[in-house]
Amino acid sequence: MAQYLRQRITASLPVIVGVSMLVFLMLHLVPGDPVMLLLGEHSAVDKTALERLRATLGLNDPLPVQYGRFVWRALHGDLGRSIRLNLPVTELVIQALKPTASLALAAMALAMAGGLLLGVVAAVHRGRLLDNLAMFFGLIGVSMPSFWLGFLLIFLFSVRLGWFPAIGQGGWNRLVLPALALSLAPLAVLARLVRSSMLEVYRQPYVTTARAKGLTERVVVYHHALRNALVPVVTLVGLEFGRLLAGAFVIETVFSRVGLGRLAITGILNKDFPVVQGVALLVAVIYAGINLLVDLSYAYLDPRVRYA
Amino acid sequence: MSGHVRLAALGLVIFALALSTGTSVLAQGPSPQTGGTLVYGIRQEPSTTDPHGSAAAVAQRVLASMYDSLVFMTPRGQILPWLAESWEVTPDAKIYTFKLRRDVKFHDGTRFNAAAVKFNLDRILDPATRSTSAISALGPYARTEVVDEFTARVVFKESYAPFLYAASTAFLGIVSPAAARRWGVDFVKHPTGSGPFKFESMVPADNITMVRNAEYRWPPKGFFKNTGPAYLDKVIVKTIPEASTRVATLQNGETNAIEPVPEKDVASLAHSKGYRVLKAPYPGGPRMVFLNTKKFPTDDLAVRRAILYAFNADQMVRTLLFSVHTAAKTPLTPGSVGYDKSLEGMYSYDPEKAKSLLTEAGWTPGADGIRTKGGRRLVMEQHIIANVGQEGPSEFLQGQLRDVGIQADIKSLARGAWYEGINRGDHNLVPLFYIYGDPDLMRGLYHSARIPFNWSHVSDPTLDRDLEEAYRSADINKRIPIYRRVQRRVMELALLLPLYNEFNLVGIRAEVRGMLFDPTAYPLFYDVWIEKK
Repeated sequence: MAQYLRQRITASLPVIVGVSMLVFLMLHLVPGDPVMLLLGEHSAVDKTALERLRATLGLNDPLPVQYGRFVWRALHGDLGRSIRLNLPVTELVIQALKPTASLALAAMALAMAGGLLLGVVAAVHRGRLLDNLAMFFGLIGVSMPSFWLGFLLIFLFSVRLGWFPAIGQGGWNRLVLPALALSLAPLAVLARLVRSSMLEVYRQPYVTTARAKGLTERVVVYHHALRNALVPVVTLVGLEFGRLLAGAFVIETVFSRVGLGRLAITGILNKDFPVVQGVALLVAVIYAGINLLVDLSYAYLDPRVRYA
Repeated sequence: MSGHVRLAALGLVIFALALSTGTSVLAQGPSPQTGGTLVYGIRQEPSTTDPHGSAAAVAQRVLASMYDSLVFMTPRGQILPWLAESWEVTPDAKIYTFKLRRDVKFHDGTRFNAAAVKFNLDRILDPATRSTSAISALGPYARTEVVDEFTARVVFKESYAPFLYAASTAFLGIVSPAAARRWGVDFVKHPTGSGPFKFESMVPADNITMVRNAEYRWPPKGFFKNTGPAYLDKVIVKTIPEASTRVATLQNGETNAIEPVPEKDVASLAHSKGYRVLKAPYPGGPRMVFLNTKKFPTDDLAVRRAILYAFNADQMVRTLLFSVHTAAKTPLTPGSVGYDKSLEGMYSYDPEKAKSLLTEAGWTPGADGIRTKGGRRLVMEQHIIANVGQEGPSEFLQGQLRDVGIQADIKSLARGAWYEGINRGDHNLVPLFYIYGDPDLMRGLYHSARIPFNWSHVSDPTLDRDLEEAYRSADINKRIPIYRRVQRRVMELALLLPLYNEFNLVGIRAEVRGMLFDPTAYPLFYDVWIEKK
């Protein structure tokens, strides 16, 4: 096990370095001058002042020099300072990580709970009204844009009913609406997968055996069928988690939450290189970590899988 | 000293054009109550808490509360004393001598004096400050001389008439020298000024929170009702990028003021009980489109003039902007210093005139209605920034130009790529919005030395000469006639197409009282108070 972990972590390193290089190159290939972008839409600025600022920020150096500087500093735990805000990137990223993590985890928890429930209900009642209702709900979930759902939730629960605040982070009541909005799409995808995976398992001989032994339907469904149906579901959860981080940007903007998504997109639009590189690096690490967890969980779910 | 023009501090009316109705809203009725919090929801994040750093215009919302400036400018262009009690300017506008207040204390307890002025202006030039807006506002700055403890003399390398305006902006706000020295690059985390509000905390991308400065006794003289500490306990400036969410927070009470209110929501908010929409006119240039004089086919004067005749600004304001803003007809907005009303009728909407101008110039309609001349089609490119609201006006313009036989394609780009393209001159038409409280802004737009920022890419000796002459005189009464000449010339050359005069639209809950605006239409929180029910 320890050896497997060591191998996997070593294998993740080239991925992370590759991501950082790609992001760096892409950012510099996209046209646009970060210093011009500092100024916003309406401003009167002197050309020579801009030129001097560009030099101060080291933006006139050749790309390999700039990349080298980034790597050298990153190895020392320093991700540089944001061009736009003049604040340390490490602080910005850490500040944004917590609200994004709680949003993504809450949304994933909702999606898994809801997806399992709907999927199991649909599979158990295959072809009947409950199945059709659950799958109809699933269809709505995958088709409805999350930002639109976000606005609807704000209008209903925040403006009309006044149950939850519309914006900000901190406290569970500020997490409910954005997590709901973000969870619907993965919830629907999971529900459909759980249903088909369950139906697949239902056809397996061991389910028939379990029933023949006289076990109650509840034990058959939850102990024998569901556990085995979960292996493909867990893979999907890992993949959906990546999508969730991407979707978090939209939701973070709609609900005005601090977060990695918003930090990244503001960074990209303003060509704030250090910020984008910092976020990309962190997300690459998180994503590699989640994939590792997914692989490890197979062993728990399926006794045939062993890592040595 | 005999050669100096002595400017009476109070009563120097630079310009007193009556503002259009409903533009300035003063608190009336009950007297102000102390206490309460203003939560001000705003579209863009204030980029910095350091006035001299890389401050974009939006940062003024917080900077103007935490820092005081040497002078104050009213929305009517009147310069009032603030940290400077009085000042003298040489007629060539090269040397400005300020007599300073003696009772001003920074938030860290240190005293304000002439050495602080010198430290501040010199600090802007230091590359480590990473200055963008402040260094531009400082113009051809040479040095500051400390004449005595409370007299500072600011010397420029050449004439710089707009300096009093520049000195009134938050970008030239005065920071505590002790704090700036102590914190260095981390000053942004410990911003220290002498303003009516003190910095409390900041969460990037979320909010900046400020609390009342209980010792404040030195507001600008003659503009605010208040003369002591601010009424509000606290001001939270909160970033809410989504327009619909912003409106929702005003309705559910999470904010009690928002900026801007989307045009489509203005009427419904203004007519609902419990809300008001304040409108403050932006000074400077209107929303406008620059016509590139160096690129085919807008290098043809007849084509440029035809564009101005073919565009119906009134209709656009009615259909696209819910009549919230007003149609623009000239290079400056109506409240701006130097506005020339006589230019309003110069290009009245007249599509027939546009067509005949084009026909006379040899542009004849082709089979598909688009005109051609010498085998070349009358096709041009509008370069716009994607997703910042420029699509509507561009499409509207596109339709109207199509009616007279001009094809105006829209190229929608990310801001960075957009900047690069227009600085190269790839565009025929490009929209711009330019907020500035002094008509010298036209030097930035039309002087040949400002290419590529001069997006018409025009180099016209007459314009250059006039713009320089106006810039060199300290006497606004001498400058204004020159700026009128400049505006006429700009319109004759059809360098820009004025679209609409924009207002800053601030939505407030009815309990928010006393909000005033500075000359650039940004809100001032010093006089604001919350009415308790």
